[in-house]
Amino acid sequence: MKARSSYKGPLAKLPRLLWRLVRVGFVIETEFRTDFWMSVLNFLAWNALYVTFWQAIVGRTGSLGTWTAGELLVLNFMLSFQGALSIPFLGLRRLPERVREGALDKYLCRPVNPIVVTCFEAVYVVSFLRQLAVALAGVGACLWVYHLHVAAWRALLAVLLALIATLVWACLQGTVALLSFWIGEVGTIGFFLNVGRRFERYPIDVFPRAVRVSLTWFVPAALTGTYPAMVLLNKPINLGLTFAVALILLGLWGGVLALVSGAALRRYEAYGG
Amino acid sequence: MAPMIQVQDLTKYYRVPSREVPTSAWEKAKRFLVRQWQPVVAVDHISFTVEPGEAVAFLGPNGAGKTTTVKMLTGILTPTSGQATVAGYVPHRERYAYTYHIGLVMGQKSMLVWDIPVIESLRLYRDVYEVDEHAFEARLAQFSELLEIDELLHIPVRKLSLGQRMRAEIVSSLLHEPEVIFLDEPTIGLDLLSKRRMLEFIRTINRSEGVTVFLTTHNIPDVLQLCSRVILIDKGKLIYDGSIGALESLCQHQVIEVESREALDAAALAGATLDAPWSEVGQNRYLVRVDNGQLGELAQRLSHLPAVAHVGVRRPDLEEVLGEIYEGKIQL
Repeated sequence: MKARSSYKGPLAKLPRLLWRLVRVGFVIETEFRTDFWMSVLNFLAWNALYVTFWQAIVGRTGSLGTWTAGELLVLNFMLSFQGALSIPFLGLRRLPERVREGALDKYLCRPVNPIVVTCFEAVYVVSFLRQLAVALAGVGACLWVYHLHVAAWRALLAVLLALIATLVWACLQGTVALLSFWIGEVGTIGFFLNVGRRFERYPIDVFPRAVRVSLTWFVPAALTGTYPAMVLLNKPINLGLTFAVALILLGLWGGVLALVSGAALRRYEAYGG
Repeated sequence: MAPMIQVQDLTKYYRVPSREVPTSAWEKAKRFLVRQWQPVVAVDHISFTVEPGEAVAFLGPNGAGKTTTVKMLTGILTPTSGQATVAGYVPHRERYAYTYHIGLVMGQKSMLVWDIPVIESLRLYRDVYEVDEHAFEARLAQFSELLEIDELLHIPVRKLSLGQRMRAEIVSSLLHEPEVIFLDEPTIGLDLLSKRRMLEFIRTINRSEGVTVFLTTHNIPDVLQLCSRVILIDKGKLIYDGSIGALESLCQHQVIEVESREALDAAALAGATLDAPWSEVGQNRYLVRVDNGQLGELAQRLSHLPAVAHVGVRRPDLEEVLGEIYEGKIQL
């Protein structure tokens, strides 16, 4: 009996393969239990820090721009929500290191897309669910404690925007990670992105216009926290324009990622690890 | 029947940073600002064929181009020029369909996922190769019997010894019943028992399933145990392709083995050997490399040295022949 009777092609086996990668991530997370619990503590400590921080700031000033204490905490938990959505893409951050190690060889000699499987070798589903639960509970608690009313359709739109923001950032980070095929060390470029992302915990609309534009178009930190929170909280925002910007950025960075990943693979096949 | 592996004028150039030392300050500044590149020939117009079911050793010194060739034949690298077909596929052009038909084991690079138990990596590859559940279980049972991997299946790869890991690696590369298996230094660093077990397994797979074996190694006993044919490569060029026996017969000298009761005086030894090259290979054990014409005379002279207990004559083994080829003492 031949083990492989027939093969159905990349798309047909994709669901099973994705499920397997989720399982691999689950096994890794359960293998390193201490790491897992430490990351839970870390996550809770960060959220507690931000809750304390905003309460301290707004306790003295009454509000920050148009944002009340409750709204700022919703912004914080919306950011956690978007962070949960980005957990499956964490492998992108390790890609440069894996490229330098020559780790792509493992999948280049197998019938899969080596870049995709290397990036998603472990999809940490437990972390994803944990962060998702904490973020949703945090948003719910803020809405209840601060008597903030949210329409269901706005909640859906906010989730959709956070999802698009996640994909934009995945494409952006993926593009930067793939540059490691040419320049090896991409930490410096990643550093600029991380500096931009430090703004995402603050409501972007309190900054000058130039900063707002930069944080929307160049390092789209506004997409991950401020805009989804504004959509959710019914704050003044042009919904059509916001979604248009998000979709343009997704198309732009998605296209760049597709181009760069094809070129990166060809380069790897030409030069090796 | 068409050859399983067909290679014609296969060539691979790498572009590496220039190793020339800049001579002037201007050159140094220029080098700092703009990196200079130079081409390096890793594989230089090699051609050979391998028949289905054959077990071939692909040998050469470090940096000869063995791994680059294996990477081109497995679809990992694109050749600079030339043709390669394996199992009817052009590896770098038809990588997706082609890789269903091959297996690759790299002794120096793990193909398993480091932090998860072996069985999870095997299940991942089962899904990658679309092996159905019954066939997977049957294959696993077959390998468990041959390689005793049952005990390893639930241990994370990072906790396995090298020998255990290599057993798991080879299972992962054969799950999908490939027609060809490429083994790049599979026994490197293995202890005697692990090595023996692995080689016996590969031989069984080669003989019972007709899997074509393409082996690169520096362990000559692996070659003798598995292969009847050797392809030699040096500085990217193919320098020999033929049987082990024919390779050994290229040696125009023989080896006299001398054992003595006490250490022999170097001057006396040099006099007895008429300046033929000799070396001490152990306590009171010496090897003398002798041209065929001088054999009788030198053996007699050595046996008359005081303290000599035994003098024997033999043909050089494959390892010695390869050493002389690599050193340029035998021209091919």
